[in-house]
Amino acid sequence: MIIDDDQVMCDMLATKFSKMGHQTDAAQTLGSGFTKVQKGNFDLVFLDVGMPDGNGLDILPDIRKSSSRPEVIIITGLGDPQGAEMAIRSGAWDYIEKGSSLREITLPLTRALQYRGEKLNHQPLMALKRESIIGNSPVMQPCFDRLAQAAASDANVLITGETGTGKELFARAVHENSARAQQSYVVVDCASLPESLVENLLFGHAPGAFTGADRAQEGLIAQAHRGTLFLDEVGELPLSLQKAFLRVLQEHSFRPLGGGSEVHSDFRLVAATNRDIDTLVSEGRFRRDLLFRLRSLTIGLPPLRERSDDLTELVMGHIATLCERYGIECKGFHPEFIEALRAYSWPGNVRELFNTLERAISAAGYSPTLFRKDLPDAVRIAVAQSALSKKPPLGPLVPEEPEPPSGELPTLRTYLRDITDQLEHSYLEELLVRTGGDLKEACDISGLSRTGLYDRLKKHGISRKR
Amino acid sequence: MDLLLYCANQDDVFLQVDAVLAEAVRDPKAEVFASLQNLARRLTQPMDRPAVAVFMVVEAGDILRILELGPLMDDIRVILILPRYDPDIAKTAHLLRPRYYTFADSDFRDLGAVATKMFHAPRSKEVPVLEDAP
Repeated sequence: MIIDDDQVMCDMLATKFSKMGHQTDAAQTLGSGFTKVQKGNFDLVFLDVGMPDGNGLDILPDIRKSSSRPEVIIITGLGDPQGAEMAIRSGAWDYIEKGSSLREITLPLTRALQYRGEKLNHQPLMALKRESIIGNSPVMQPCFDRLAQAAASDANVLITGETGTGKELFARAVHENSARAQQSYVVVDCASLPESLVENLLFGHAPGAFTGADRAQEGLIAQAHRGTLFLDEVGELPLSLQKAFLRVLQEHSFRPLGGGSEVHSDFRLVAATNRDIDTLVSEGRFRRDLLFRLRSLTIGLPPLRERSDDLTELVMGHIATLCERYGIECKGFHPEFIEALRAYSWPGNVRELFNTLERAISAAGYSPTLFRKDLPDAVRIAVAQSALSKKPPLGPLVPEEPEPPSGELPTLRTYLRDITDQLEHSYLEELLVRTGGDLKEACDISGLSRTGLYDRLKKHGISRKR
Repeated sequence: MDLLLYCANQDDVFLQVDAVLAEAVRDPKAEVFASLQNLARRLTQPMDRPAVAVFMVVEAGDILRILELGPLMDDIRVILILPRYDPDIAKTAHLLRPRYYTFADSDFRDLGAVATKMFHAPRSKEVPVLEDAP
């Protein structure tokens, strides 16, 4: 599907793609293009940014969510780095300028279709069990694809992401969807275990291995036999132990402390960290060879601030959970409540969101609806400060007193017309600055009709796009 | 960070564990429960949700009863004190995904070290605590 208001561009791309053996369709507006994408079955959408009925980037997430989940390549007349970043983050395959050669346009098409073909060939045969993992935003789709791959294989998995992004939930989902689901899921909390204990806990010991070891004890690696060993906060695994653990990963056998013979354990390893583990490697605090072994398959979880599409679902789901836990009627929320949550940056991610909802429900008392006021002060202050920092400084609404006419005195009518023009120009400039170019808001504030506003902008040569 | 301690038989072992945890956690002291029913009621209270729960298990059946707490235990780190080393009990224990476990006949020095690290060592990037402005 080619969505571009430039008929010549549509024809040129359609001809080229047809010669390459692809079926094409085209639309000259976002509305008609989106309707076709929703009804049809498309592998790839070429999407223009500047369209007569809106910005292509605004409907990119919706196109990615449509039933055929097509890949999207953005084509734009005026490329800019922010637009490219926004497009890629919203799930676009690539971002190319219209001035590019046909080869530069067809290359990403070929690669995107190849990727899609391989992805479709490796669809999981069963539906993933992921009851605890809420969200279907485009940025989460690659995570679920990776989860499906991990569940279908026995490869070591490394889950990365900021604190509170759900690494442990994904680790459990890997286990619960794998062939080892009926066996043990053994957790090793590397951040909570003192260095002196980790070796004994992992490997176990034979009787007499050390003072007080009066009987043999199986370690966690042995207990994970036929199941999954989850190393949480693996970045905290003591350097002194990393070599021994690397050997266990390679051999799947080890010698308990003080033990004379090797013990075999057929475990599958899942590890998680919120640390930049490549930095730990470069600082000499984590073994490169161990990292290489850990990340046979990597799942990188996005922070909540990049999952705004999931926010409402997360909020509704957790409010229902909390209300059920507390034995109270499920509460609703005012639109301003969710707007405030959207405006906050969530450095602690989903965990922080859930803690915040718990506090809001408590603050709301018996009220059936949650309001912005029920949010913790810290959140409301951060949202207010963020809103202020985004607004440009307000200029004076009343302009400086006009200079008295110099030279030959004009007629009063001419003088007043010139002053009015200057005032009108300043007002319109300020209006667009304050509204960020939002025409509806500008009309609401100024009291002008859309046509009236357009006419005045045109008269003063002011562009709506600042 | 709050700590819950469940122990059906508040005997000498309980006194030892309570003392070790009190030393490790310092302030506030652990909230102690002798019945899972009371503990479940505590977990349905809004706010002041505990971060860690220590369960002193007498038999494998206790583990299954703790499992029945289900979603009430979400996001709470579990430490278990098992009656003895037994592979079957250990296997059942992992259903609770404990962050650490030890045995009732140990001297609990290791338990103290783990609890101290859990409560006092900064994790690499802990969730920010939302403190209301004064």
